This record gives sequence, structure tokens and C-alpha cells, in this order.
Amino acid sequence: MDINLYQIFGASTKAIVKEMLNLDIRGMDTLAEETGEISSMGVSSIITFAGSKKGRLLVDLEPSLALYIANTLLGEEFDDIKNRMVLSTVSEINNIVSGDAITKLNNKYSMGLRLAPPIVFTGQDVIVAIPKINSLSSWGETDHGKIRINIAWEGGNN
Amino acid sequence: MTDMDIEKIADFFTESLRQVLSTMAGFEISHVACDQLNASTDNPIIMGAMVLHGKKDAIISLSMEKDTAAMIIAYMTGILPRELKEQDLFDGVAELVNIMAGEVKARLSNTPHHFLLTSPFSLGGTNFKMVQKKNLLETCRHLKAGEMDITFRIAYI
Amino acid sequence: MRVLSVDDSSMVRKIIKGAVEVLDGELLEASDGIEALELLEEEYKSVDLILLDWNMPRLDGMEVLKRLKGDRRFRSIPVMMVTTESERENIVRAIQHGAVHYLVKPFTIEELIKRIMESLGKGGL
Repeated sequence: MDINLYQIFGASTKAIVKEMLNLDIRGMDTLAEETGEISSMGVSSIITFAGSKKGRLLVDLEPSLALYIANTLLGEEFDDIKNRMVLSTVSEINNIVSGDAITKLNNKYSMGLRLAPPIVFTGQDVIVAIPKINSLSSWGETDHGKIRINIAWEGGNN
Repeated sequence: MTDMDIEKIADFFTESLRQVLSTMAGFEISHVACDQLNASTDNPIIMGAMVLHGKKDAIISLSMEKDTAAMIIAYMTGILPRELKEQDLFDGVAELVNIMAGEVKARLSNTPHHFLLTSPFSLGGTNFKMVQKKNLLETCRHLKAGEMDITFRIAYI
Repeated sequence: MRVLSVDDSSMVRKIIKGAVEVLDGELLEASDGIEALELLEEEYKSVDLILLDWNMPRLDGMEVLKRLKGDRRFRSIPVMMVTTESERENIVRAIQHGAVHYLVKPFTIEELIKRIMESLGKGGL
């Protein structure tokens, strides 16, 4: 499968985080295959998209980064990642990143993709398992914590 | 999509799950009122979920305590619960969602509520919290099989 | 008797393994279509039946079925679809492409055993 279908999400994540939060993401330049379950770093959001192909993006953040994003965007001082506003903000970031990426993919490949609204979750030792789909992950680091994105397209990575 | 539609669709899923568990695991389930859309437990839970793409997108989920998942998968596969790995439980709960959704998809084809399946996924952990956007049209069903509790949720997003 | 189960769900493969063992058979497993075709390259001479899921990563069951029936080495191995795809048009498509049976999930273990026997040309139990 065209590697651009994966790389575009890393580029969109970096660009949106920079634009909205003035925050640099270091790394996120390489992709690695995920073969098993994904252990959430703290707060994770999943969004799916469908058109001529089906896929999904998982954005996974360390709690410190999730709180920084919510506090910066909403101008408040949240200290609990389970706060609905914190989770909703993370979900919105995923929505914007995915929207940006799939618009570019639609323009370039006429894929007719559309997004379903994201879900976001948090908990203790949360594991995400997506048995029916292979995926690639990309890691990045900011001054406020780590971020991972994981992209999957049905039909696989090759 | 109205309140009545979503309740009817939730009943289709519940009926499908009843059939899956009865056919493949020999469990008979009954359902009781679900008044705990945001209920939480301190025990480890496993949730299988799937996004359905239709005229209006929806997310369905099936959550249960890890021990319940182990019991169900054990009865379905004939393997003792203690011999099942965590991976088997994640896979099994996702497959339950897949089978249930496949049946309802066929039932709703040629209706305004038809949908496409996506890949199911599972989440596991404790003190678990999941959020979707506000003002959803959502409902749930609380299902019991003996001492085991299963919660089915559907939300149109 | 050797049966190849191609299903991305390890739970379903375990259920099928139980049924095949009841029939004193041996189960080979593949978790997607690509893995199945790779495995068949080595094992096709000793595989008596293929049980094939539809929705799988990398290569779906319908595509696998077409490739199996388009390859003279694999063509004679009977294929039974075991899937959640229960819409009539999909069942017809699979049969038209050479599947000998179509079992929709959920199924009972007895049903599965019976269909395996039938697919092998050995009739029901």
C-alpha cells in the first residue's frame, strides 16, 4: 500500500499541533509495524474513516501532554485526565488531524473518505487490541510528553 | 433516526447477541433495564467495539468484566478459562461484536438504517472511561447470563 | 484429514480446531489470506479442506477464493466459507466462485462438524 497513506497522518499531526498549540513534535518521522496489542500511554482516541477504503487513526498521549493540550486550548487548569473536557479536547485534536489528513488524501487520490466522530478513552493499564487489521505506529516527543499515532487501513500494510 | 428507531435497533443487537451466546456458548441471557450508561467498576473490564458507517454513523460496544469474558470464550472454544491468554479474550470479545454486527447488518440491509461494518477493536483496563461527543442519541441494554453481566451500548454520532 | 482454517479470529480458529479434533483431523491455521496462500505453497498436497473467513486483513476471503480456484494446484481443494457475511448476494457470489458450502456465524459445533463432513463428501453425521 502507498506509504503516503500513512505518512500523511504524521505530517498533519505535527502541523496541527504546531498551529494550534505552538508546540513542536520531535521525531514522528518513521513508521513501525504494530504486531500485537497497544498499551495506552494514558489517553487514547480512535477515529475511523470510510470511502473507497476503510481505515482508522489512533492518537495516544501521555497524561501530561493531554492535560497540557486541554489547559492551553481551553485556558483552564485541569489536573484530572478523566475530566470530560480534557477527553473531549483530545478527541477534537484527533478530529482535526484526521480531517486535515483525509482532505489531502481525498484531493490527491479521490478516495471519497469521510470521518466518523472520534471516541476517546482513558483508564489504568488500558490496552487496545484491533485483531482484524494491521497497523503502523509513529512516535513523537514534545516538551510536555510523548505522543504516538497509529494508522491502519483495511487491506493491510503492503 | 428517532428514539424509537434506536431502541428497535438496540433490540436487534440484543437479539443477535442472545442468539450468538445461545448457539455458540450455550448461555441463555435475559435483559434487565439499563440505567447505568456511565456505570464504572473497579474490576478489570474488556470492551469490544465497532464503528458502523451508515447514513448516520454509530458506535456499538459490548463490555463485561474480564472474568465474564473468560467464561464466555471458554464455553465457546471448549478451552478452560485459566488456559486462555489475555490476547484470546481481546480477540474473542472483538469477534463477538463482529458476529453480532454481521447479523444485524444483514437484517437492516435494504432499510434506511443499513450500515457498513468496520474492524472491531477491544479495549481493556481498570477505572475505564470512554467519552464520545455530547448530545448523542444513545441507549443501552444490560444483559444477564446467570451471575454474569454484559452491557451493550449503541450511540449514533 | 487435514483442514486449513483461514480466519483472523484466534477464537474462531480454536472453535474449528475443536471440531476438527472430534473428527480425528489435524488443523492448520492462517490468520489472513496472504498467510494462507503462503502456507498452501508448501502444504497443498496434504490439505483436504479449507475453511475460509470473508473479512480479514491484507487479503479478504473472496479474493483468496478467486486465487485458489484460479490456480490448478489448489483448485481441487474444497472450500467452505465460515463468515459473518450473511447477505444473500454474498452467499451467491461465494458459491459462484467455487465455494462448496457457506456457514454463517454464529453456528453450533454440531453444525460445523456436519458441514465439514459434507464438504469432504462424507455426508452428515
